[in-house]
Amino acid sequence: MGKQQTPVTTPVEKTKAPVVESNTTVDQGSNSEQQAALQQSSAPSTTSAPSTPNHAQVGEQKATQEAPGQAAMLLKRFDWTTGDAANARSVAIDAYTKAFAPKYAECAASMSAKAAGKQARKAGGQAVLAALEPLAKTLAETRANAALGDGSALSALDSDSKDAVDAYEAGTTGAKAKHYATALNGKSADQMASLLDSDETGTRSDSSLGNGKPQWSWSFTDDSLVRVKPDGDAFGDEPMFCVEVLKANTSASGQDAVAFKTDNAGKAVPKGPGDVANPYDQGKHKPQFEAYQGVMIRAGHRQAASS
Amino acid sequence: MGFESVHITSANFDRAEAERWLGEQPWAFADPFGTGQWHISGRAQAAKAARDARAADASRFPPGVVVFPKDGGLTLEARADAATFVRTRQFLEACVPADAVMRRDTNDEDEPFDLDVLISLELPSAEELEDDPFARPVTEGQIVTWAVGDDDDPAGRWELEVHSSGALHMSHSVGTKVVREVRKELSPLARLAWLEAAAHLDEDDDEVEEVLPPSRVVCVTVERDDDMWSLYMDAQAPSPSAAPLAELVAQWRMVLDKAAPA
Repeated sequence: MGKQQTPVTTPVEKTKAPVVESNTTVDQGSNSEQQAALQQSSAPSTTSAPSTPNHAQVGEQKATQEAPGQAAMLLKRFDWTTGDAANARSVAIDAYTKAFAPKYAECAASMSAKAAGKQARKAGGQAVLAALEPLAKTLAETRANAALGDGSALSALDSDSKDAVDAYEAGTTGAKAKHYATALNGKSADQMASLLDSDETGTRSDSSLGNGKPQWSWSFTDDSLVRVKPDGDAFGDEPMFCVEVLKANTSASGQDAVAFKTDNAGKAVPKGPGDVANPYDQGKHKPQFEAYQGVMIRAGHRQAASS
Repeated sequence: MGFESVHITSANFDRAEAERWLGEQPWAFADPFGTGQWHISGRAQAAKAARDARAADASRFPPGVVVFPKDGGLTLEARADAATFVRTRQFLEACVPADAVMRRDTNDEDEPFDLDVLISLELPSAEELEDDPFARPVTEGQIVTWAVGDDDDPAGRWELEVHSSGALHMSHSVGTKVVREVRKELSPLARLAWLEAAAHLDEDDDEVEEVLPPSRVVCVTVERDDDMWSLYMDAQAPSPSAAPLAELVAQWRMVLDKAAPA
């Protein structure tokens, strides 16, 4: 959208030719503006009816004036460093203008110009955020998927975990994890249990989570671990599972011993948000921080099919 | 690393005290559905959003640590970043007795409760997790922003924002480039003067009567929790309610103009 460079001399509510219709509700706050409009109008009027401000035109003018500043304020809520910041600004300005102008026109017909401006400003701000947030989240998700794809998502792993990734990729550890990472795709928790129980190289142990939901685990001698949560966990009731690879020769146990999880193609991914160097500031750019984190979590915490 | 699930048991665990302690933390909240569970986030701002997310969907908690306190112990489930583990550590340090035992993840045996074993991540300090006063939406206090101009204008955009805590941030940007930037903490007197001047702002004092070039339009925005409004005025004729603030802003602008280029 083009930037406004309107001359300084034109009163906002005084610029238009008088409107012919005489039955329009008079703006409560604009009697003087009406008179000024009549006095200043150079357009010959064909009737003697009193004019009313052209609210739509005024709304457009005010929207154009306010949009860049409001956009600048709201753009700061997101990180655009990996995206097209100029496009985001255009989107924001466009959204503000499109929401502000009609809202102003609608409200100005029944309330003062100031009150209409307030209502329109709120509508404009909401429209900008509604337009920007999906863009910003998509940017974060794209960034996360790129990091998973090129392996940089694993950059924050400790050295033992990185060694395990190297060994896994070289085929010297975690062969069962590589197999089950894809073999369990699309299966229900019960189908997974049948398949894993039939694997004689695995050892099953069952436990319960904090809320009493069950967790079934199969560990393998090649440092592979498969965990199935048939009723989900605290973070969702859907059945889910994780395929993991342990660090080699570690004295650690529990998740401390896990080096990484695998995704549905068998690729190594971070085992949890604590192992991810999230590039977004959780305080300043929270929606993007969470979007990035969500991609990382979903890569390794996988959903099972419903029974 | 941290954990995904852990059961902590101790006959001396004081459930009521643990819940009281969590209830005082801005980064934790009790399940609004009354299940007796608690949720821990890394920051107060994140906790507020997490609470809203939980209230909107009873079938799940958003990422974080979910605590299930009960008589004789507690269990925790984690899908947590480093900041959340810092807070979890603070909680466990304060509320778990020394004689407790824990059973982590898929382990089938109890072991002595040991925070360094349970959360062995290299963690930021709790001080590093203080909320950024300029993070939006505002959850604490208010931010008043005084902005003039437009990024696209040759003169650029000049912006001063002050949080009610006294944090100040000024910037002058042209296009996408920040030309000058200053961050400061206001002295107690300066903070008081700012708050008094800001208290005069009147939303109804709005209106730029003319269409002005961007460099002459001042937009004063007041942001609070769930509320944001703006006051537009001519830079050459500040609205009466904004006059006290305009005087302070003029002084700060001189500071910014003298600052070294960014």
